Order: sequence, then C-alpha cells, then structure tokens
Amino acid sequence: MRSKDKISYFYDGDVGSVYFGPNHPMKPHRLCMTHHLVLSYDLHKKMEIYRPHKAYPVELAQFHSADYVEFLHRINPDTLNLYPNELAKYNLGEDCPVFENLFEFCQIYAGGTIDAARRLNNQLCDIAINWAGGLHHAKKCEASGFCYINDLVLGILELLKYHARVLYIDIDVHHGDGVEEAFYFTDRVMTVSFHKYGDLFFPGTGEVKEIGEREGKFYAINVPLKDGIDDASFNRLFKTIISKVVETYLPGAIVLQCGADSLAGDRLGCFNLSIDGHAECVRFVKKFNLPLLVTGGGGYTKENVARCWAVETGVLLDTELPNEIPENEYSKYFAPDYSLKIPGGHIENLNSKSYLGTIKMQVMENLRSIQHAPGVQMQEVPPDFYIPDFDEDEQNPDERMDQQTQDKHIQRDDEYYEGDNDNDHNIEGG
Amino acid sequence: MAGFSKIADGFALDSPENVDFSEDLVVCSKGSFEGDKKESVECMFNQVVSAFLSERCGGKCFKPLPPMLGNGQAVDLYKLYVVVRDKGGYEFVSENGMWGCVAKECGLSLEFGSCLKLVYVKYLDSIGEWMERTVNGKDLKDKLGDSEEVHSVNVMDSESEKDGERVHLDLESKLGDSEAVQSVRVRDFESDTRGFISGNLGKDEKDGEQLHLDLEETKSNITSGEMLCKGSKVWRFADLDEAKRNVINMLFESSEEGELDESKCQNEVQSSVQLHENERIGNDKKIDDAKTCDVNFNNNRTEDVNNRKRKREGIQGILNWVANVAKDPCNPIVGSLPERSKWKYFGNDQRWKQILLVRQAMMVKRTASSSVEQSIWQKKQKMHPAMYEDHSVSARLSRGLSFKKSQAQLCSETAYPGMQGDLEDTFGRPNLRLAESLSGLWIKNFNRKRVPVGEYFQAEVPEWDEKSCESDSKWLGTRVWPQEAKLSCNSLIERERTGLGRHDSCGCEFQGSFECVRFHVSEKKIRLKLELGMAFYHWHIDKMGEEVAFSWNKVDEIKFEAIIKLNPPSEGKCFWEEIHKLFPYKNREQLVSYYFNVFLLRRRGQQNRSIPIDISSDDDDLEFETTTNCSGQRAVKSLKPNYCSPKKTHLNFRGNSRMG
Repeated sequence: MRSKDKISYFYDGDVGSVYFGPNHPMKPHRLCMTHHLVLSYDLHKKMEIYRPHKAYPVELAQFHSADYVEFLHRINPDTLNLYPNELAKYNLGEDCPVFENLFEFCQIYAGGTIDAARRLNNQLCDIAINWAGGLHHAKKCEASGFCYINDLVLGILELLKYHARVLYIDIDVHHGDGVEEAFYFTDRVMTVSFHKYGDLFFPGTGEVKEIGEREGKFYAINVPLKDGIDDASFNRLFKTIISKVVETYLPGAIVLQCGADSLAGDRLGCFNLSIDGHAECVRFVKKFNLPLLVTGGGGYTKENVARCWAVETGVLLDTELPNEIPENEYSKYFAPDYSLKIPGGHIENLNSKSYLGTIKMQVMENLRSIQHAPGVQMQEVPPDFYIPDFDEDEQNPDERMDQQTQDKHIQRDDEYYEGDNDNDHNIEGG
Repeated sequence: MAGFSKIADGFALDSPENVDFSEDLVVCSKGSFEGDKKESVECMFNQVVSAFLSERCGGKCFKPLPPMLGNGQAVDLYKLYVVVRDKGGYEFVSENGMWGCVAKECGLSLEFGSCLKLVYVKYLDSIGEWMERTVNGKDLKDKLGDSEEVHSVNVMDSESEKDGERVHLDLESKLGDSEAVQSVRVRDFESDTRGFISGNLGKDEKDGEQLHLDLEETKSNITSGEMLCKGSKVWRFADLDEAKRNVINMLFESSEEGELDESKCQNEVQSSVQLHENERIGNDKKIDDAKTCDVNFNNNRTEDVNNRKRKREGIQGILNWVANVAKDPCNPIVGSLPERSKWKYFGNDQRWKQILLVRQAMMVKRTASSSVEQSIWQKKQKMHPAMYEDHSVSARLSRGLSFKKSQAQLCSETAYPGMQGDLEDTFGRPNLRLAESLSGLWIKNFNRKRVPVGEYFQAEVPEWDEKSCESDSKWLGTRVWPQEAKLSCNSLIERERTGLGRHDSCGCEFQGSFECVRFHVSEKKIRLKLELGMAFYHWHIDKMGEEVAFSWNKVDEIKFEAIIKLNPPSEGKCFWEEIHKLFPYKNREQLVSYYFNVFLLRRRGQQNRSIPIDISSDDDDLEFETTTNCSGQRAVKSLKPNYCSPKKTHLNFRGNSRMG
C-alpha cells in the first residue's frame, strides 16, 4: 500500500555519532531517534529510503565561499589552536564548535538535501524528506547558530536548475536568516519565515520590513511573532499567508523547513505549538501538490523533535499514526505516557489579535506589490496544481478545499487514492 | 554656560559613584569662552589621562595629578606628551638618550631627564601607545574653511569589520578665530555597521579592534580662536588592555558654539539631525543609501545637510535648544538647573528636562529590556558574562546573548546603576513614556539588525533559462530501502499492518513489567532486523538502544558514569575531555554512542521512576538529574521561555578543544 505520492526519505546512520559537546543544545542524536520512531511505526514500508552521498566540497562551494569550505574541511579539534583568526573569521568555536567529524556531518546533511532536490528535479519522487537538513542560519562565508553549511540554499540552487521559481517556507522558531540573506536579491526564490522576533532573540533579523532588495524586493517575507503563539492563531496566519503567496508567486517547487523548536516546551523555543499544530503546516503545504522538499531544522528537546518529525513523515505519507508509541529501543525517552502527540504549551500568548492582524496586513500589502510588478516570467511555468482559495474567515476551510482538491485529482489522474478522504478535520477552524 | 554645564557635571558626577567599575573616562572639560585656550587643552588632556589611568588600574592605584618631581615641581603632562611625540616617541627618545633634551624643552633642568622618563612611563606610555596604534587610521581632520579646523578626538572601539558593534566616541571640535564647537558623540552601532559607519571611520574597518584617540593637531589648534568645550561623556570599557571591547549603548551629543553665526549653528544642528535621519532612512530604505548618506555627510557635511532632510520637529527643537544654550549658556532664559532631587517636580515642558529624559531613556531602555534575561541567563550559565569579555565572543549578535548581556551590563553599570528605579524616582513614572518616545528614534535603529548585502553574502543565482536545464542524474543517493532483492521475510512484512501503535495487550504474565517491555522491544528489534536485512546495519539499528552496553564491560561502565558525575558541566568542567583521556582504547563513535544509547537512556529511566513529569533529558547537567523533587524541576522549566533568547547559546564556548 503505497501513498500516491512517491516519497524519498534520506537518512545516514552515521549522524548518530555526531556530538557537538556537553551542554550544546544541538544533538544530532535526535535524528537517530526520529528514524527509529519512523521505523517502529513501519513508515518505511510506504517510502523509499536513501542514503545521501556525502556532498563534495565543490558542491558545497556552489553557495559557500571556497575558502570557508576548505577551512571546514581542514579544521579539526587538534588543530584548532593554530587558526585563531580563521576561527573568528568564520565564527567557529562557540555556538558552532569544531568537533571531530564536523565536515563529514556537513557533507551528510548537505548531501541529503542536494540529493533530495535532484530526485525532485528528475521527477523520481514527489516529496523528498531530509530531517538531517534545514540548517538555515549558515551564511555564505561563516557558520552561525549551530549551522555550518546551508544545505537549504544548496538544495534551492539545485531546484532552480529546473524551476523558474522556488518557494521557501520556514517554520523554525528562529528566523531563516541564512536562506533569506542568500536570496535577498533574487526574485527566483521567495523566502517566507515565521519566527519569534524581538527581545534580542536569535538571530535578530526577520522584521516584517525586511522584504528583499533589488530584483528581490518583495520576495522575502517575514512574519515576526511574539512568545507563546498557539496552534489556532499560528495555523490561521500560516494558511492565509502561504495560500496567498502560492497564488501570487506560482512557485515550481516548495522547500519546507520544519524546525521543531517552534513546538511547546522546546529548550530554546518559546511558542505554544502542539505537534498537531506544527504538522498542520506540513499538511497544508503538501496539499499544493508541488514538488516538495522537507527538511528538519532546529529542535532542542530531542524526544519532541523525534515525535514531531515522525508525525510529519506520517502526514506526508498520508498516514495517521496511533498515539501510542510502539515499543522501541528509545521508549524510555518518551516517558511518562509514551504517547506521540504533545499538547500545546501554556505560555502566555503575547500575540494579540491586533498585532497579528497588523503583521498579516503588512505582508499582504507587500504581496500585492508583486502582483502589480511581477518580476518573474510567470507565464513560463503554467500552474499544474491547484491553489486552494483559502478563506480564513470560513469556519472549516479544509473541508471545502478537500472537495475541490478531490475534484482536481479526479480530473488529473485516476490514480486517486482513498487516503485523501480520511484527512482528519480536527483542525480548529483554519 | 552655567546652566548646561551643571547638567553635564551632574551626570558626570553621578556616574562614577557607581562603583568598582568606575573606570569611566570622563571627558569633561570646563572651559570658558574667555579662558586661556591653552590651559583648557591641557586641562582636557589631563582629564583624559586621569580617566585613562584610573581605567587602566581599575582604581587600585592612585597616581596624583599633576605628577610632582623631587623638588616639588609639577610636570606638565601635556607638554611632556607633545614633546616626546615630536621627538619621535618614547622608544626613539629612550634609544637616543634624549630625555635630557625633553626635560629642557619642558622647562626643567637636564637632570630631571630620567625622572621625566619615569613619569612618562607611568603616566603617558600606555596612552601614547594606544594613540599610536590608531594614528594609522584615517585622519579625521576635515577642513571646513580658512578659519576653521575640525579637530577631533575620536575614540573608537571596534571589533572586526563585520562585527555588529562599534563604539564611536567622536569628539569633534571646530576651532575658528573666535568660535569653537565641540561635540561629543558616542555612538553604538549595534547592528551590522556597514550601513552606519561614518566615512571617517570606514577606513578602520579592516582592523580587528582599534581604539582611536586622535589628538593630532592639538597644538596647532590652539593658535587660533577660543577653545571652548563643554560636553561630557561618560565612557568606559572593561579593560583597556583587553583587545576586545564592549559596547556602550549611548548616544549623546552636545554641541556648542562660540560666536558662530546663526546659520552655522543651525547647520550643525541640522547635520546632527541628518545623521540620525540617515540611519533611519537606512532602515527604511536601502542600506546602500544610508551608507552613502553617512559618508556624504561626513565628507561634505555642509552640502549634504539639506538634502533629504526630514522634518522631525521634536528632535529638531531640542537640538536647537541645546545649540542655543551652547551659544550663550549664561543667558537668563536658560536659567539654572535645580537640584536633581527636585527634578520630578518640574513639568515636561521644561526643555532641560526633556533633554535629560531623552538622554536617560536612551540608556535605560536597553538596559531594561535585557536585564531580565540577563539575570536568568546568568543563573543558568553559572558564569559571569564578564567572562565573555575576555573572549572575542562578545562581539556579535549571533553570539547574541553574550554580547547583549555585557552590553546591557555596561550600559547600566557605567552610567546609571539601578537606572530604572532611579529614573522613575527622578522624573516620576508617567514621564518615562515621553522620554522613551523621544528617544525611540535612536533606540529603534540600534535594536534592529539588518541583512548584510554584497558578494560575500548573497548566493549567485543564475538567470532562469529553460533550456539550460542540465540533467544531473548523478548523486541521487543510494537506495537502502526497499531492497532490490526482496528477502524471504516478505511474508513477515506483509502480515503486520503498517503504522500500528503499541500493543496494548500482550500475552505476557505481567503486562508492563520490566521483562515484558524488554521482551517486546527486542521482539520488535528482531522483527526489524529480519525485515530490513542489510538496511538494519546501514542505519546502525544494531547500535541503538541499551544493547550498546553489551560491548562494554562493567568496570568501564562504572568508570564512565563516575567521570560524568565528577565533572558536571554546571561547574564549568568538561566530562567529555576526561572521558577521552580515560578511555584511550575506545573511539569517539563508541563513546558518543554509549553516552546517548546507554548512559542517557538509563538516566532517563531512573528519572522516569522518580520524577514522572517535566523531565528534560536534554540537559547534560547532572545537577538537574539529582534534583529529584518536582518543584525543582518545575523551577527549571519555568526558566525556559526566557532562556530561549540566546537560542543558540552554547554555554561551553571555552571547550573548543575539549573534544580532541
């Protein structure tokens, strides 16, 4: 029983031995836990699993400066002391420590995202998943915020070989500054980031007024949020903005960064999202039926990260996972109730209705500027997908959309599959 | 003058009280229009030296000023400095045995040469060095006219080019025949500075850190005009010897003019406004724009002033007032400043009060915004932010927290200890808002970080060309699952429905018992193994879970645990280094694997039994593990929302080499 979408999933067991050091919040071991959870839910039976090639330095240098890549390749903990200037120059050492298999780790996760993009390009799959990727802070010439190589940029550059326009969506609690910065001048990539902004929250960028420059003006969208946003308001905002963006921009492919630090209870995050709320974004993006590259990202409470990404793998496979986590080697991590879903948090929601309204208004305003001045050759790629006309005021938009999606599907291919019907509608009013 | 100087003095005096940190450099010169210009330069120089010295030794040593020689003669430090500098600097003078000449030129007899050398070493050497280091920076002098010279003292503290902070104490004074303008400007470029860097600082970008005190031309300036300076700036940094600096979040400007005509005065004020405007425009529009503006402004201030000027009446008005006070401080309209304790009884319509409010609010705002985080952060880190000051770490926003914290701390401790309360007491609560709104213009600029642009930041995106699609079918990954040759275990796979949850009931005698769980876990694992075939090993499933412990002997396991317990990261220790040392026969992979698969999992198992809620297995710190009561755990949890801001605060920055 295979999902109608062909899914490629990337995993390399070697990430398990990557360790950033004591007390570093980034723990690649979460990837092992995620994979293990995916396997214990038997999700592997519905998809193809690939081991990514280790990206070559020359591939990494497609975006990054050659000297930076070369330095990452060369440096190891034993030679650290020899290069104090370079370490400072490339911002290595503190947030971004140098550890033994650092470069191999970068090669693996970047290779995963690049492979994923290539498989999408060659139409070998409809959706590609690389939970190891999504390190959105890395800059062209320096590391930043636990990120060394920006696999997202590399993946998007790969997608740009086949698609005139690529949409990047980022639901990490932190601003996707590395990706935004990389594509700040271009209209071929639209970056949309939903993140916490203010109170000196890392990385400090991502104000609503950051909209891109030159040809890229209006092609960077930032949705700055405050502490404690909950499922309902997040999803409403997400759906409104994303549907408008897709409708306006008509992307050829979508890259979705699913940083799990926007979940409630994250060690570094401050939102109230439940796993359902987080996964709802994935579900929504999947519905556009565009080539979709899904990556991981942040996420610093590792059992929740594993839960979240397992659920989202399920969502992409149109599989609803039972809430009881099957026995597995890491069961203990999921104590006390060993259940899959975590509820939303209870931090005070500082996002007032009017605040969110203002943000939405500004974003919509900027989007309108695109309609009037399309900088891209919109006609070249005819939309072969359905844009749900999402109406946020409607009580249950998903219901209506599904009907239309179904019709579309039936027209488009008779490979229509019942999985679509059992979309659960437990979403709180869109 | 009196009115304003009192204000300034008030502040200057207020600040140093605060403490052990009072290494403030107080550039406060009280000159008068009629006073002897030379004296005032000396006076200023002495004060700089004094502040510098007290800064250097942190108040621990006392050096009398002016220094006295054995015969009770006072040494004119300024003169000494100038003479030595003219002769080619300390080293040159010493090498060539020219101290006698120096003594002579200073108006002392030859035998005092060695004494002068001592005085120079004690008082002036470091300041001289400091200046020398910066002399190669671009000369700040700017010719404005025949009778005018710009004379600047530019104290700049910067990290490397990209660093998001910069202290710029720009002490500019224009000297003319009968006019003098001095403004003190401390500017903090919190965000990426490219946009902000004023032209005369731009050249210094490349250098890692520089302090720039340019006193060149001091002497020649005296030749013309009156020297008047009135402007106080409290300025401090953690330790002059430290190469890395922290930022002062202050912006204050006062400009004074002697008999400058009205339009000149207006110009000055306008240019100040323009400067801020530029920053603002930069935010709203393109960074490039701002950059250009800033540069233009500095290079060609008179021409640029009226371009792109925006009305901002409030600020303009206040600046005008300041300028007017500067022009004629004794004007009865200005009046005198009441006692500080009585300030709150005055209304906001008082100009002087608005200015004070602006000034205080500018400093308090950021202090307040980060103080909460700071304290929590400190608790969590168990590390004083000052530690960061010793490292280059404090530089960037990306290193976020550390920088912000020390910055905030600096700000508060430098000028206004306990500012918030202080301010409220002084002005009364409602006025805070006014002050904030007035200062908002500046603050906003500082708290905002911009997207850097340029070839070093953006990706090269090729133009879209449909035909150029090259098929890159290489490197698509290696398929691990499903396997090409399906093994005989197919039936096993097909029999189980996919996506099943946990078995709620099983045939075990004691459901949910340790053995039962263990049995089902291994049952599942064996099934997986059969099903996955080689993939099982590719994914290292065989190295997942507590089974990893089978390859370890008991002694090693005990040793491993003991090391971690003995080296809690909370005490700044690094167990990882120790482990590496004590297990030379195990490779890194094995150790990491054991740590996550066995050690943490077991610990979690224990926690599950003792503290069923709110467990964080993401804290490597054992302190939390040993805190077995629930309330303790909750307390920890409650910190989380605040702890987030650093995000990526990795606490163990010291441990770069620990993994080796």
